[in-house]
Order: sequence, then C-alpha cells, then structure tokens
Amino acid sequence: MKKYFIATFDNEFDLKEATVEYRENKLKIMDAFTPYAVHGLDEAMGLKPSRLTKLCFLFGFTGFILALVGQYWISAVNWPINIGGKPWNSLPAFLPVIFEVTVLFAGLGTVFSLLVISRLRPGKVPKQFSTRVTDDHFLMVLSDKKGVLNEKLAESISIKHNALKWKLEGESE
Amino acid sequence: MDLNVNLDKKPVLSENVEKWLMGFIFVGLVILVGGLFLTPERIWSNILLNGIFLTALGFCGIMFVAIHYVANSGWDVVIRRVPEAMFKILPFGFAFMIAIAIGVGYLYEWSHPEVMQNDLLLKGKIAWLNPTAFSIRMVLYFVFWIIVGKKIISHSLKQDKTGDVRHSVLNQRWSAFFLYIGGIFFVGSSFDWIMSLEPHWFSTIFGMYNFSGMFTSGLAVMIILLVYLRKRGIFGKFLKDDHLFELGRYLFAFTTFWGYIWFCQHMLIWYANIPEETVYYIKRNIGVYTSLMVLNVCLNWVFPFVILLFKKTKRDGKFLVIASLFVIAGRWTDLYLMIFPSKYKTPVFGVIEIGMFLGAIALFLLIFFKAFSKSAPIPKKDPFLEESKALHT
Repeated sequence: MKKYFIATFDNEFDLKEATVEYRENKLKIMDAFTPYAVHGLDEAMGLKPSRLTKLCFLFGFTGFILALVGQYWISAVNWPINIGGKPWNSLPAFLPVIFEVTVLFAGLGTVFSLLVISRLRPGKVPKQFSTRVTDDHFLMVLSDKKGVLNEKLAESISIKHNALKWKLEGESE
Repeated sequence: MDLNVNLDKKPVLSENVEKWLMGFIFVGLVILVGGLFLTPERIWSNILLNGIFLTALGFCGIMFVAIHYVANSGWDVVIRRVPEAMFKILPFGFAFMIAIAIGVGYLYEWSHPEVMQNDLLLKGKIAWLNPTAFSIRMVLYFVFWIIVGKKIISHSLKQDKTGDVRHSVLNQRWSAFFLYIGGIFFVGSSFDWIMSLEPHWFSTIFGMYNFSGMFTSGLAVMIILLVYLRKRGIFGKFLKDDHLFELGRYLFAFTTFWGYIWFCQHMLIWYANIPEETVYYIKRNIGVYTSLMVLNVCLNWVFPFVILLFKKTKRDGKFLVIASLFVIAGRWTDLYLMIFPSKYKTPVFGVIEIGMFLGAIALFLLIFFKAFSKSAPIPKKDPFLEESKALHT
C-alpha cells in the first residue's frame, strides 16, 4: 500500500514556502504539480541539477567524432575524389557537416534520453492527482517508498501555509 | 531590500585611479603626436583601429538598451545604466573617425582620384568611394546614432524622476527606429571604414562579421565593468549571479556566433576560390599573419567557448572576467587583422600599438565612470524593476 499526501495551494509563493518546510521536517517529497514552471521551486525541493546536460555533451561529442572520422575516411582514404583541386583531407569543407551532425546527435540524443529517463512512452497513462493543476491549482505530493508518512506533521505545515485542502490517497500495488 | 542605501551610493573613481587613467591617455596622445611625424601611416592605422573599437563599444551600449526595450524584456533593468553609460563614448569615437576623414589620404587607396581613374575595376566605384561621400556618410551615421541614442537615454533618465510608464512606451518606439536604421548604418560603416581599405575586395557578410565582433567586445566590457562595480558594492543586493548568468550566456552565444560568421566568410571564399575574393585571405596567410589568424580564432571563440561551456563558470565573476579579457584581446587582434595586412606585408607591433590601445581603453574608462556616477546606478522607477530584481535562472 502506497500512500500519498496531497496538499493543494492556490499560489506559487505559499507552495514554495511550504515546500521548504516539508523538506526541513524530513517529509519525503514525491513531486510538485503546477500550471506553469515556478522559478526557484527546484531549489526549494532540493532537486539536483539535471544530468541531461552531460548526456547532451556526450552525444554531441560522439556526433562530432563520427562526422570528422567518417568524412575523412570517405573522402581521403576509401574513395578519394578530386573536387575543385582541393586536397583530399579538406577540413574547412568538413566543418559544416561536422557541425550539423553534432547538433543532430546532441538534440535527438537528449530528447530520447529524457523520454527514457522519465519513462515516457506513447500511450502511457499518467497518474493524475488533480486536473486543476493545468488551470489554477498548485499541488504538493508527499509520499514515502515504504508508505511511512507523518500525516499529522504534514497536515499542520499545510495549514500553516494556507493550503486550500489536503487529503490522503492510497494506492494498492 | 534596502532601497535607499544602495541607490544613493555613487561610484566615484578615486583620484589616484583617475590620475593613472589620465596618465595612460597622455602617453597615448604623446605616442600619437610623436608618431605622426615619424611613421604617419602606422599611426593612422592605429587611430582607425582604436576609433572603431571605441565606436563599437558606444554603439553596443545603446544597441543593448534598444534591443531590450524592443523585446519588452525585464531582466536587464538592474544593469541598464551600464550600457547607457557606455554609450557616452560614442562622441569620442566620432572624434577619432573625423580625424580619419581628414587623414583619408594615408589610409585609403581610393582617396587618390588618379588611382581611381586609371583602374578599370575601381572606376565604377567612384560614386561611392570618394572623400566627400565618405565624410558625409560618416557624419550621417554618427549624428543618427548619437541623436536617437540620446533621446532613448533621456527618456530613461526622466523616468527616474517621474516614474511615468509613457517613457518606456516611447522608448520602445525610438528603440525600434534606432535598431532598423542604426543597424543598416552599422553595416554601412564597416563597409566604409574597414572593407574599403582594400577597394578591390568585397564580402557581403562583412557587416555581419563586424557586428558580431562589436557585440562580443561590448558584452565583454560590460561584464568586466559589472563585476567590478558589484565588487565595489554599487548595486548592493540588486545585482545577482542570475544577471551575470544572462550576460554569460549572451557572451557564450555571441562568441560562437562570431566563430560561425568568421568561418562562413573564410570557408566560402576558400571553397569558391575566385581570385578577386581570395586576395584578402592570401595576404593574411603569409608568415606571422597565419599564426595571428589562428590566435584570432582561439581568443575570440575557442577560449571563451571552453571557459563558458559550464553553468558554474557562466555565473562566476572570475571566470567571466577571464573569458571577457580573452574576447577583448581577440577583438583587438580581429581589427588588427582587418586593417594592418592591407598596409604591411609583415606584422608591425610595438610600443605604438600597445600605448595607443591602452590610451583608448583609459579614455573609455574615464568617460564611462564619469557618466555612470551622474545618475542613480539603477533605473529606480522603471516598471520592470521588480521583474528584474526577481530574476531567477
């Protein structure tokens, strides 16, 4: 049995302040749901900086090396063709293609790794706690892997920060 | 936040520093005057280089302000007084360039009518390339930039007193006007002042190439000044790492843009291999100039790119200043490579170049700090001030 504690706020400032206090009281934050990207919420939740940037660099670098070596091998080793009297290994002519392949690898690689990391696939039904987070509600969902949750504490913090409502929700696994 | 304390504090250069700056300007002037008798051509080339450098800083200041007005952006309000003060160097750039218009004979081949008449290719360009038209265009460019720029800044300063939103609305219109016409004039100015040094050669991307150099050097100077002013506590809590981060991203993006444009011009000419175009690069790929070309790309793109690749370095004043110094050195090298190879088969470098560049920078700093301390360090009644203070990246 997995338990969720869902607190609803009507503005981002209350949500942010409450988030800081939940975290200070060692309550496990599952996620926050907001109508728009709230600046500073990631810091309040204590999220680590995204690791996607490193992946992006790695993908881009792979593309860079692949395009460089590939073009060199094709036009200087495997099938040399004289184009306009230029040397076979013409780095300036390779650069635009290197640039494009780097961008292509970095872009597609990052998007697909995002989908894999966040387990998004076509036809996936997301768990929705409230449909009003797409309109005017700000949700903070607390949960613990073991289903242990100090409900009283969570409730008192929510009241303190003007939560509109709060509830407990169970989910059988 | 403590509004009053921070806003009344004014940055005044200590007299000691002012004396040093005056000293550098004086040394620059001595070199200029002395050199005019010994090696006039070299001095004129240096006047052109430094004149364009200073003009670009002033132009970048007002353009930065105008772009953010037009884009309706809020984050830049806290730092806006810095580019506004940078604009004050533009009249001095005008003075440098007026001098060029007077000494046109030393620099520009096309200023001699007999040369133009006897050259089949240059004959067709007489209507555009002659000293009278050159001077008229130069005055037109500068008068437009300075008058419209002053208009924008005066509205911004008036808003400090009245807090009227109308000033922001009017400034948006003036800024759009400035960007349209002033941008075209900037492209024209780089064709006129630099590209015509070699009147046979032409490149349509040259205006864009100079624009990128102007913007990167302006941003670099802005970042250094902001980091310094923040250290002096001028902005208090108003200027956060987030503002530096925005500027760092600007610098990162536009150094890459510079690299892109530089490569565009280089590769297309290299690939097409048309004699009338390749002359430009042949002159710059001989002897020591070749290594200067490599240095140019490293200073303007490779070093800043590697330094600013990370989020942490883009938010850190120290790294930003290091990258900015590379970019400023790169801008000098870039201008040097545009101007000097048209006159000298081998590079000339010495006391004259260093002294005059330092003098120009000292002049800029003196003017900047004088202008900056005249008004409140941030536009305290701008409607976007709250948004700028709350900037979070």
